[in-house]
Amino acid sequence: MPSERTAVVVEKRPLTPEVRHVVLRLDEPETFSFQSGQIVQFVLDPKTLRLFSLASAPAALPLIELCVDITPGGRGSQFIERLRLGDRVQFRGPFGVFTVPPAETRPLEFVATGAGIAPIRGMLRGLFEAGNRFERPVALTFGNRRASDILYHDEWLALNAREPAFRYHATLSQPDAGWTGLHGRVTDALPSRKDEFQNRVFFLCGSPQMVDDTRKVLEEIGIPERDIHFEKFF
Amino acid sequence: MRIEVKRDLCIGASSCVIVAPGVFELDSELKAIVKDPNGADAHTILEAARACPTLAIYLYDDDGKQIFPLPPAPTS
Ligand SMILES: Cc1cc2nc3c(=O)[nH]c(=O)nc-3n(C[C@H](O)[C@H](O)[C@H](O)COP(=O)(O)OP(=O)(O)OC[C@H]3O[C@@H](n4cnc5c(N)ncnc54)[C@H](O)[C@@H]3O)c2cc1C
Ligand code: SF4
Repeated sequence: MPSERTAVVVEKRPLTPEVRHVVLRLDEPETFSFQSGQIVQFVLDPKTLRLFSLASAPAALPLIELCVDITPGGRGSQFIERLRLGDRVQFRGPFGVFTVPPAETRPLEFVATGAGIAPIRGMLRGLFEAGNRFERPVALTFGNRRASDILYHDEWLALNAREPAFRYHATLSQPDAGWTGLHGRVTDALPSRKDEFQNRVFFLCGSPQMVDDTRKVLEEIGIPERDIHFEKFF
Repeated sequence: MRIEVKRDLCIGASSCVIVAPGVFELDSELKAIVKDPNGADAHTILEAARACPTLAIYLYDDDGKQIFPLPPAPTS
């Protein structure tokens, strides 16, 4: 039986009209440890389970953060949308294998679209809070429709300015006038950097379609399958 | 190919059921079970195993050799 945890909602704010950033404070943080990128599971009723990625790193404990797109509008979305400050929630976990393996020392390429940034934010925070121990290049390719859809854009710009090893590649499929970044989907943005991709490890997260399209492009570029980690948000 | 769901790892995320509904279903404890090992082609079954967030699905070839999950990549 997975252990049940409880936590209190201490912050909730819209990042966009569709996406919520939720901060929970664990009731018993001493019993909870996780690796950046892992997931937790909310039991909405005995037959209804929903998974959300931890968008924060262990250093933030006793706080954990979620980043949830409520567009699907189903039970999981409604559950998040109804949360109010002070509500106590129950969940299970952590679970999951979408993490940077501790023994992995090679440069890292993160690729996300939309709320797929959630576990990657956790991993990036984990890496840079720990001082990017291996001093390896780390890049984020983040695809969205419009500039106003980019989640945590200021964080990525700040990280890009502060960390010489970090490169931020934001790409928009429906760019606004005045956008000076990349145009197109992540699958358009990646091939132009293929010469940099030798011996890099990829972490992809987003919709099943985006993940599969990106895997295909990376495989065509010659990235071995074992160097492509991914999480699909079903 | 032999398909094994490690029940202790399965959290009922149902990703496998979405990818290969002919092969996997959730039982009353919301754990995945193999209802028909021939309910999809080998590629679809591999994709279902890959989609599992906890890597609870193990695949073996006809000689019993584990084909998924792959051993971790050697690091340089
Ligand atoms: C590993 C993992 C991590 C996730 N992390 C996040 C996150 O950090 N942020 C975020 O916004 N979302 C995340 N999601 C998605 C999230 O769990 C929900 O699926 C999403 O919020 C929609 O839930 P809903 O109840 O609102 O929508 P609904 O569409 O009512 O329900 C979605 C549920 O239906 C199931 N489902 C989807 N498609 C099918 C299908 N074709 N056939 C049968 N069942 C189907 C899914 O398993 C899911 O549980 C994650 C999903 C997974 C698998
Ligand atoms: S995807 Fe994995 S965790 Fe989810 S039901 Fe299937 S085996 Fe279980």
